[in-house]
Amino acid sequence: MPKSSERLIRSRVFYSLTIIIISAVALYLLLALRSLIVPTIIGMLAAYISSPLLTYQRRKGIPKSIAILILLGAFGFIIFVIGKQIVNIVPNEKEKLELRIQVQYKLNEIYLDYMDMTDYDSEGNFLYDLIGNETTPFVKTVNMFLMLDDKEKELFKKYTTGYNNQPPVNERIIEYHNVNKTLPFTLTKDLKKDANSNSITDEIIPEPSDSKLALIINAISTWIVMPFVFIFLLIDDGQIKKYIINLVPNKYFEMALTTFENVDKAVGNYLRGTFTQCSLVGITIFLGLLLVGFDFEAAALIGIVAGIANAIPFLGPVIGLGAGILYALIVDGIDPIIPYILPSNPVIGVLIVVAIAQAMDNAVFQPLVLGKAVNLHPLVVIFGVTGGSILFGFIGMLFAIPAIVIFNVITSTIFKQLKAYYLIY
Amino acid sequence: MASSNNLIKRSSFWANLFKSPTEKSDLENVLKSMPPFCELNKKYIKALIKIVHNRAFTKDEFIFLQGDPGIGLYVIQSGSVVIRQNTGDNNTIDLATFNRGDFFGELALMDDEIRSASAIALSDSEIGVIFKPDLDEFVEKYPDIGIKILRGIAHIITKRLHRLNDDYLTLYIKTFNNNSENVDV
Repeated sequence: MPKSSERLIRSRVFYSLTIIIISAVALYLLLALRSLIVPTIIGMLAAYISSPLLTYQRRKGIPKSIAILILLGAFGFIIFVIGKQIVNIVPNEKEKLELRIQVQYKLNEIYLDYMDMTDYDSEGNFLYDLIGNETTPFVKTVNMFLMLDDKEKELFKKYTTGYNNQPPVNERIIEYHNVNKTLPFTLTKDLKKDANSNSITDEIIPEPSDSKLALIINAISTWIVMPFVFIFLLIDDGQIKKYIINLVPNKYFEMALTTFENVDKAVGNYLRGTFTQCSLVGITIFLGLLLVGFDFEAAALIGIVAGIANAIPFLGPVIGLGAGILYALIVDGIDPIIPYILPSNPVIGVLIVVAIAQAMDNAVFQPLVLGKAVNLHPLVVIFGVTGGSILFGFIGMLFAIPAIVIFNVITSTIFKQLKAYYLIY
Repeated sequence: MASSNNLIKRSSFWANLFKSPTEKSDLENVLKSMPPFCELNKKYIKALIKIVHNRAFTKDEFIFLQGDPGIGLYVIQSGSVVIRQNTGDNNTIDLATFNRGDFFGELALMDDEIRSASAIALSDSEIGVIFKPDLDEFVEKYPDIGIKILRGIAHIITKRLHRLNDDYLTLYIKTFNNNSENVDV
C-alpha cells in the first residue's frame, strides 16, 4: 500500500510540475507574441458574431464548408472595400500639402472670426479680451505645426503649375496659401522646428515607399492568423468546449456545463447586439452626412469611425461627433441634398445628424438589440476606457468595455451556479 | 495494476483526465438500445455522439445531488448507479438501480426543475451525459429527427405515468382496505 501512495504522490508532483511548466511557457509566448493577440481576438469576435449566420445558412440546407466560405468571402469583401476607402483617403505628397494649407486656413478663419479679428488691425472683441491670452498661444502652436517650411513652400510652388504628373493646384488653395503667409501672429521658423521635433507625428509617419512595403508585409504576417482563427472556430462543432469541460472534475461538471452555456449565450448576445447596434449607428450617421452634403468618402469614413467608437458608452458618441465636426470645420464646398441646411455652416448639420443617430440608437436600436443588459456604472466605463487606453492604446480603449462586460458575465454566472449547486454559500 | 486502480479510486479527477478514449461503437450501441434514440440511423447517431460528454465516476461518487438543478440525461456505458432519495430525518430510500444501457435524469430534458433524488455510482462507472441545451440545439438542427427523439421521451414519460397511476391505485385500494379493517376492529 505505501508503494501505491508513493506512486500517487509522484504522479501528482509530476502532473503539477507539467502544468506549471506549460503555464510558464504559455505566459512567455503570450508576452512574446502579443502582436498576435489583437488579430486573434478580432478573428474570435468575427466568428462569434457570425455563428448565427452560419446556423441560418445550414438550416437553409447549405453545406457547412460552403456556408463558411460565403461568410469568409463576405468578410473579405467588407475588409477589402474599407481598406480601399482608407487607401484612397490617405493623401499623397501634393494632397498632404494642400490639406495642411486648407486646415490651417480654415482654423484661422474660424478663430479670427470668433475673435472678430478678420481685419488684422482690429483689437478683437470682448471674447478676445477674455480668453485671447490663453487661446492665441495654442492657435499659434497649431499654426506652427501646420505651416509649410521653406522646403515645403518650394515644393508647393512646383505643384502650383503642375509637377510629378499631378494637375496644378486649385486656385482656391493658392489663395489660402497666400492668406496663410500674412497672419496677425508672428510665427518664426525656429519655433516651428521646435514644435515639429516635439511632435510624435514625425516618428509614426512612414517616409518613403519601401518602408510602406515593409509595413504591409509586417501587417500581413501578423494578421494572417485572423482568417484562420475565424475559419477554425466556425468549423468547430463543440469540440473545444467538450475538451475544456472534459478537464473539469466531476463535482463541478454540471456547474461548468451550465456556466459555459450561460456565458456563451450572454456574451454572444452582447457581442452580436453591440455589433448590430454599432453598424446601425454608423449607417445612420453615414446616410445623414450624405444628406447634409459631405462627399461619399468622408461620410463613409466618419460613419465607420463613429460606428466603431459607438461600442464605447458615453465617450463613443463624442468621438463620432468630434470626427464629424473636425471634418466640417476644414471642408469647403459643401452641397447639401436637403434644402434649408446652410452650406455655410456644416457643423450644425453634423450636430443634427449625430443627435438624430443617438436618438435613434436610444429609442430604436438599443431596445431592438437583445441582451443589452449591460448596465455599467459610468465611473466603471470612464476608468475602463482610460485604463484600457493607458495599457493598450486605442485598441485597449475600444475593447475595454467588452472585456469588462465579458468578465462581469463570467464571474457573476460562476457565482450564481456555485450557489445553485450548493458549492458555496 | 492494483495501484493504478487505487489511483483512479482516490481521484476521479485523474480518472477523467486519463480515461481511455471512449469507444464510439460502444456508445453507439448503447444509444441505439435506448427508446428515444433507437429509431435514429447511423448518421444521426454519429451527430448525437458529438454532443455526449463522457465522464468517469469512481465507486460511491455522487453523479448528481438531490436539489441540484437538472441539466441533462445520463446514459450508463458501464458500471451501475443507484438513485437515492433523501426523505428527511436522515432517511434515504433507494428508488432504483441502473446498469449498462440504462439512462436516468431524462426528466431534466423536459423541464428546468431541480433533481428530486441523488444519483450515486455503485461501482466505477463510465457515463455519457447529454446536456439539455445541446440536445435542444440538435433538435433544432435536425427537426424531423428531433420529433422522433422528443416522441421517444414522451413515450417513456407516458409509460411512467401509467405505472404511477397503477401504483397509486394499488396503494389507494390497500389504504382503503386497511382503513376499513381498522374500522372493523
